[in-house]
Amino acid sequence: MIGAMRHAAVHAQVRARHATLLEPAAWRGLLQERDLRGIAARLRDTRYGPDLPDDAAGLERELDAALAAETLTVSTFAWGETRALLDAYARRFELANLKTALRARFYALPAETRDLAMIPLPRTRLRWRALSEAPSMEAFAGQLAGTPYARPVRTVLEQKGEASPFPFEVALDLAYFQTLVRRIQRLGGRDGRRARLLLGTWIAVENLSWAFRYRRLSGLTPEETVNYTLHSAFGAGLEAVRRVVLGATVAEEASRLGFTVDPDAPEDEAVAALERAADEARAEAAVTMFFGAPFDLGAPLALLTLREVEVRDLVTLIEGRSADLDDAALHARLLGPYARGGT
Amino acid sequence: MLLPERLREVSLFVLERDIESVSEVILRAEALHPEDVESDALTPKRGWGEVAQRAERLARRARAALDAIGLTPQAAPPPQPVRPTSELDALEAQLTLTEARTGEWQARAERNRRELESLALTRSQLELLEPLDVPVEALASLRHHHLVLGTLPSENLPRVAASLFMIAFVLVPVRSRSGRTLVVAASARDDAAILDRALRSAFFEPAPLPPDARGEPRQALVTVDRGISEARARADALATERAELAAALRESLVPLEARLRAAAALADAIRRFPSRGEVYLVAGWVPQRSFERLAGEVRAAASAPVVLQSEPPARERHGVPTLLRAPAWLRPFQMLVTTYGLSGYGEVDPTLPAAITFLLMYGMMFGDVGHGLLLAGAALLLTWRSGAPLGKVMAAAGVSGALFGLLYGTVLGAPLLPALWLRPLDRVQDLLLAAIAAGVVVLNLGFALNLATRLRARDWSGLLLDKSGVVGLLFYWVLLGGGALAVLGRLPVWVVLAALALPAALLWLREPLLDRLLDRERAPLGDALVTGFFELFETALGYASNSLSFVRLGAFAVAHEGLSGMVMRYAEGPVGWLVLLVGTVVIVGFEGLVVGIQALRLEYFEFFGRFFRGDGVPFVPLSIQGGLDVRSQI
Repeated sequence: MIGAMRHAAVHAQVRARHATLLEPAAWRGLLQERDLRGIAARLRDTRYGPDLPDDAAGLERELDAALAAETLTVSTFAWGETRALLDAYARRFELANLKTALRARFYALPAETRDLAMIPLPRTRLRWRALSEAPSMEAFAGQLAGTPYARPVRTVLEQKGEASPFPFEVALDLAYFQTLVRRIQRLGGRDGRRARLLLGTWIAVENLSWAFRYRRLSGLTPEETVNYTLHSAFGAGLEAVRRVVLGATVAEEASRLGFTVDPDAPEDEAVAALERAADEARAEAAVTMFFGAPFDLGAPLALLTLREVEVRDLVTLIEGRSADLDDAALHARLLGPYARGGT
Repeated sequence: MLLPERLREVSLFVLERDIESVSEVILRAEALHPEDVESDALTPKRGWGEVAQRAERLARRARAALDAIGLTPQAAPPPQPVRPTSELDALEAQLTLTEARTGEWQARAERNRRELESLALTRSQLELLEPLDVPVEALASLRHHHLVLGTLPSENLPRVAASLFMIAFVLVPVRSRSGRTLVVAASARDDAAILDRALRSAFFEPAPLPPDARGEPRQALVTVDRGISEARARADALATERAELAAALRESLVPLEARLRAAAALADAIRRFPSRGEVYLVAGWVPQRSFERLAGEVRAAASAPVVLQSEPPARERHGVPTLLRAPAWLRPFQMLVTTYGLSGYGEVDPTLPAAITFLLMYGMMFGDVGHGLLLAGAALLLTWRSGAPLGKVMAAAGVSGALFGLLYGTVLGAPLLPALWLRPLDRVQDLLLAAIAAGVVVLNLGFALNLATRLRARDWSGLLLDKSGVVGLLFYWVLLGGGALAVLGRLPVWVVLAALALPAALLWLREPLLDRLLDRERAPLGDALVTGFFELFETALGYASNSLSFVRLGAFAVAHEGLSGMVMRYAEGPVGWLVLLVGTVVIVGFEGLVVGIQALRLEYFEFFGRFFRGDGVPFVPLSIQGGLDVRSQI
């Protein structure tokens, strides 16, 4: 009883937060703005708060921070397997920061560059500055003790030493996504179906993107590509990766997932088109999924998907205005139904 | 109770010679939420960063020493003053001495562990080879096959097998330990490079054939087993030694770790304080009620006069943290609010009104003396078993249900008591009207709280022109009251429409008006008018649907009595008691749940939506406890 009550409370809370998504009218206003100051001024009247800066990098950082904060907050409402899944999903922001710290350490990035790339997180045990300034990977791994990142980093460290950040990033990505896949697979019924639709599609396309990109990277053998990708990925697992290393095209693999990609497009563009098609499909599924029964995972995941799409569209708008992109080209790049409704 | 704790923005200018003692007082008081000060004139001092890093390193070493001998850190802060600049050398010397004892033990234990692991690995390899009558050294020189032994993360075993789909290979797992699996892998000599590369990409760690093993595997095993027995005996002796070491070092190492942790926390706090020359600026937020005490302690701790400036936060100030202090009886109800969000500093804390409205709405929908008391009893049992705050909320909801049961005169669905108000099934229409009236009261309370928040923030445009502001409230009253009077025929429709015209026009033209009043960049008028019209339409629909939404309070009360009455009707005959039992459990469990959901929905959508943003920053004070979590008030 308490479980169902809490589930309903999550749903009610999430639906209330849904009201803070930017509506087509707000998007219309934002898309009319020609410069960053105007965009920032309009965003200050929204959920993104009154403290937004006027510069592109600062704005994007604050938007990412808002997305991370919302994901972390929504995860705290849930419990049990659902909570475990949302926690695992929310860890992607920490993972992104960890990879930034890793690169900052390997390539000695200036502190300003590093700090700008870090997503401010409301709660984390990790100290990004200390990590990026760790004198050795041994010290780096030591700071991760007790976190889910310690084991993959330690495994790579023992086997490959400090040669490059690539194997560390691969190990961290794999550990993250494998955990997420396991969490999704543990969910049954409607929760499981919702998670497969919204997160499973994302994971499948992510895995295919890795496979295509690894295939093009010189020096990676088919065996390495298979080992550096997910074997279970909701329609794009081991068999798909094997087909990719044996020469399958993006269009062929996209059609297996139900997406259409121009078969004559260059591979880079085809992969980007596949990712975009999947994101649009997720956003549309999230809109319809949002208004469902109060006893499943659909609403929280749909809210997080729509918020993510919103933030990505805002980043597109910011980048587009910074680069003087014309309106038609900018509108063509928008993903979310609400943003496109504002064009 | 209705507002977050009042805070003062405090700036302390402290001379360098006093910074440690003053900061220590502040950290021990756990009353200052630090504020980042951005100024070209004031910059953090580099030296403190080094002190903080050193103290942090030492604290980690002390923690590692504690862990090594199985001791736990002390929760209380060190009683004596902490001075990182002057005492780190002495503390490090003390730690080094202690580490010499723990470290020597650790080194021996580690050596023994590795030896045991190596022997166990060798044994596994030899076990695998046991059926062979071939000397171990001969396996290392195979001509047509490539054979490797080693370990890899257990979860990568199927990955390697899956990746080697283009060559013929053999992959035999031998055993798993600590998340890694010992495997023997073999392929044709021509495919050696592919096998090795696939294994490496699965983070395979080769374990060469035991170099010391000679002769047939069976003979070598005897020697290895003897070595394992000796290593295990040493491990037992080391465990005893560890317990003795812990007993001997507890009195010195535990306080030492606490002291280093406090030093690290203190230095870390000071390194964030900006300074110029000999003067440091300590800036942050302090609860009004703690301010005088903290100011007195700070002055007493400083050897020179401290310049202390403090003022309440300006109204337009952003980023002021929120500190909520609710009385103990109200605290369980904070979860009703915090699952939605944390009040901003300028916002009303809706815990008290949320608690009252939730209980009233729950009681109205679940009114029955018997069911209410059963729910309260079950919830108290839950609280007693798990301490969950939700149990206390549900217990109060059960009591509210029992009180409404007195008003309805029902006990377990039977009309056993005289109704103090009405019986839901007899006067359905009255009950539904009362439910809508209750909704109107709740919505008006929401309006009132929004007006109070806007007024407090001197947000005049929001106060007047927001759809939950004065104009919105006027529109709502005219729409609802005028509509009702028009339906009853007591007022001509044109009068109602005329009265609606002004607030409707203001709501419609809200954005262009605000653009002009606030001197904002003006949106095209045509767009604003179209958008404003649809927003006005949505607002009107929203007000009507928000009010009618409360009909469910009465509808659920009627459904509850109907369902309960049905259970009582069938609770006759030899299995009547079973029907009553199952029916009551279903009603208390399932209906109690559904009613809770409905009450929450009304809270969040209809009530909170009027006035509550919930995007506050929690008040997290500096603390001398360092790595141990400071308990947030939220």
